Amino acid sequence: MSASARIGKGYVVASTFISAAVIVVITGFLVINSWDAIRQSGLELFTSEWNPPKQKFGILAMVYGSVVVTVISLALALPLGLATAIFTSEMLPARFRLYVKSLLELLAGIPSIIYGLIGIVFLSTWVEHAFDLQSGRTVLTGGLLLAVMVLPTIITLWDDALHNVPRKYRETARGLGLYNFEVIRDAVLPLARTDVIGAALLGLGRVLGETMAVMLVIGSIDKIPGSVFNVLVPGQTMTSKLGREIAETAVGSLHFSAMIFMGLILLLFVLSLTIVALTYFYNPEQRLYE
Amino acid sequence: MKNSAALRVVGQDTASEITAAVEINDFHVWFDEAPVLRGISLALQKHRINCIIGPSGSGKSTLIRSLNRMNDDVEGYSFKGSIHFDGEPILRKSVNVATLRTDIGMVFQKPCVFPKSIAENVLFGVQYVKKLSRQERLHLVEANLKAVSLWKEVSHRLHDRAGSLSIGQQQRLCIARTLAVKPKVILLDEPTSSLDPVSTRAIEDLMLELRQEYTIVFVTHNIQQAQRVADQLVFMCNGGVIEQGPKQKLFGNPENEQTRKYLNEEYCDC
Amino acid sequence: MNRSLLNKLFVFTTVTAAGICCAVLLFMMAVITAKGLRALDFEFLFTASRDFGAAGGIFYQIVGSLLLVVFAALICFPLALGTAIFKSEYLKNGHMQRLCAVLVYGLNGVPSVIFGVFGLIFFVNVLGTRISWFVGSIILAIMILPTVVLAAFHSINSIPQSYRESASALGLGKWQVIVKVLLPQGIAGSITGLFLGLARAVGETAPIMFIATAFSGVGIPGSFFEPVTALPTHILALTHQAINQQALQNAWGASLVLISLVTIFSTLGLWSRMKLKTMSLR
Repeated sequence: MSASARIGKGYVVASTFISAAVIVVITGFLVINSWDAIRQSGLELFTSEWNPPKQKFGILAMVYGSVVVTVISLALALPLGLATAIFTSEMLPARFRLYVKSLLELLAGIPSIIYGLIGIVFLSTWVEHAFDLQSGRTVLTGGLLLAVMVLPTIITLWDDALHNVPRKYRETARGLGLYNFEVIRDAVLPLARTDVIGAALLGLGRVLGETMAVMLVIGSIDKIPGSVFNVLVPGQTMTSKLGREIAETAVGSLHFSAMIFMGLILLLFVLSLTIVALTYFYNPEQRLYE
Repeated sequence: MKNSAALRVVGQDTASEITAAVEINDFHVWFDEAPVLRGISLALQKHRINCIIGPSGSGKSTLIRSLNRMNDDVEGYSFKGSIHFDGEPILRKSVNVATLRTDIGMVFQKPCVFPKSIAENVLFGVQYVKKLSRQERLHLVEANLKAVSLWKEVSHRLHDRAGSLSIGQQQRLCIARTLAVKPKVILLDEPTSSLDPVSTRAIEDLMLELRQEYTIVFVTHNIQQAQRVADQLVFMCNGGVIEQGPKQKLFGNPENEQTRKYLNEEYCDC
Repeated sequence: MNRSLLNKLFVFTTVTAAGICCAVLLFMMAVITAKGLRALDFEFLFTASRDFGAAGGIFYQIVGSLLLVVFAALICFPLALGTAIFKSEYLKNGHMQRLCAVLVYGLNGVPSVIFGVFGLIFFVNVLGTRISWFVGSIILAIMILPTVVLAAFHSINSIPQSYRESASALGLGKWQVIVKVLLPQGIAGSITGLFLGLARAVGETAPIMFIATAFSGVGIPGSFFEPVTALPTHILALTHQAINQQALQNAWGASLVLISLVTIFSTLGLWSRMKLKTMSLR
């Protein structure tokens, strides 16, 4: 092997090693830094009281906030997105498709801080007036905003998933006398199943991990409301808590460590989602059609 | 194209009753303004194998795909003229396309089975037409697989994936699936072009059997195959019908020079 | 129920859903454009901000954002290209391939705020870099690494095997094949991926807000270890004074500029895909 070849090989091996190690290093640092909290607070971390002066660091209120916001946004975005993706992939004439796709990609690329800006200027005011609240910064507002935010992404992913199903299956099903809705429900969707679920999981990961937009509209109160179904009150998600507080927390304190622990929980959850999505759903080798 | 406008019904067997199942009248098709069919007039006969033959790009596929309106979903498609099936016009907007397609079934060039079991594939179309009891389902699967002589080969593994069958078996399964919805006409668009000779033979035998009960419209570019199975022959070229009539006449004594050349596999500039 | 009726209902539902989505998304576009254009003029683009952003322009924010992503690109690209080459040309073991995919995709799924937290712990506290734009660039580079690796991998990996074989048959060594045959062809896809990554990086707030930016009183940094001010964090600061109409207007203006940057990067990405692809085919 010549010298340049050896250097070249060294370069590609080293860069691969770095790329692969990054995620391990990140996880490792979060574990190390949350160790204090795990040791000192233990299971108390999973209570609902977060009160730094009293050294109480229960993250349940934030977990609750993240779950509720996610449920609201996906409950809106998934059905709406699926119906829209069916429209763009199955009914929209091909000559409009390029424009619609470009528009969707453009919208999917809008930075989340701008969604946040729209959220505080418009959405929270609307929620405030619609439900006659003192402040429109509520869990519901966060969920609605995230639904709008994740829509373009989920629509393009689903549109691709449906569009990738070869034409011949549609033609065969139509040739057998199926109506359009039967063709889509029983021929196209089952074939696109793995990609559709994979895309939904990616959307879920994105919603869970979203910070800026939620942080601006959710109200930032670390409390679980009296009724867990009351979404018209301010709340807090794991991400908004981290975004608002981490920079103001003294490094090395138990408070800091508990914040990192929360970040670790979030990271582990999103990582396992990614791995599940990758292994079972978003995998080209598992396509149901050739 | 001197004979294309003439609508003629000539039976090979004058003793039996011969009627046209499908009548096509001055039918034109354009894709994105480009003419593909130029004034087709044809009568396709009941309980016969109507074979449409011609070189690639002559419009054969477009023609039979128009018979059950599969082209409706193709972008840029437009047409002029009329097609009647059992005396009813089928190109009107008011016609229920789904119902029409249960009357005029189609088998495509490449077999296309769904990633389901063999039995589910047979039932894929028919289950929408009416609610089926378990008994009826079993019966339909058996009867239709028998009709395509696939029953013996697969009866012990009806719940296996249809994709595990050979390509030839898959194509017969596709025919069984089409038969299950009880069409009156079956359109076959080069159904053997991706099959080996043995499977091709099986499909040909099957067609000869099916014509007792069904009207068959069969597209091929294979001249020997047309000679083996056709009752009626339509020779198409460049979007028009050059000549049509009983097989014996076109092969034995064609009126058109182009037809003679093509059927004798000589060079023919169409 | 009647099948034909169900079908009509189905069509109605999807068209309605598409209409709703369309309305929501067009509303967003309209608001950002209309509000943003009102704030936008020459002075806004080319003067420094005053009064914590409520007055003046966004010149240093634009410079800061560009600085962050340019260095992110410089850090990310060689790393991503090397990884992609290794993944495509050397890594043949199935288990290792899967592990590599999981690690890279896993990185892609990490919430952006976690990158910020990691940067805060590792660079600012452990390495003691203080708040620095260069650290911000490193973090952004890490964040977009998966996008670029995957794009580069796909474009290198999809080069037909016959190219590699015919080059080897001419006596080229493996590394020569990579440099002379694969790289010239695979580079277009990699650059496309890089621009798409940058389009994402330039709009991110959470990864840089603890570690790389200050909200005011910052000009062009004189060294690697000074804070800058960037468009997304500037918008964030302005939203805190949303009662002030002038500040809000500036926030809309900054948003429109930020979206334009995002669009420019994505368009460059798509353009490079078409342009460089035709070049390599020639």
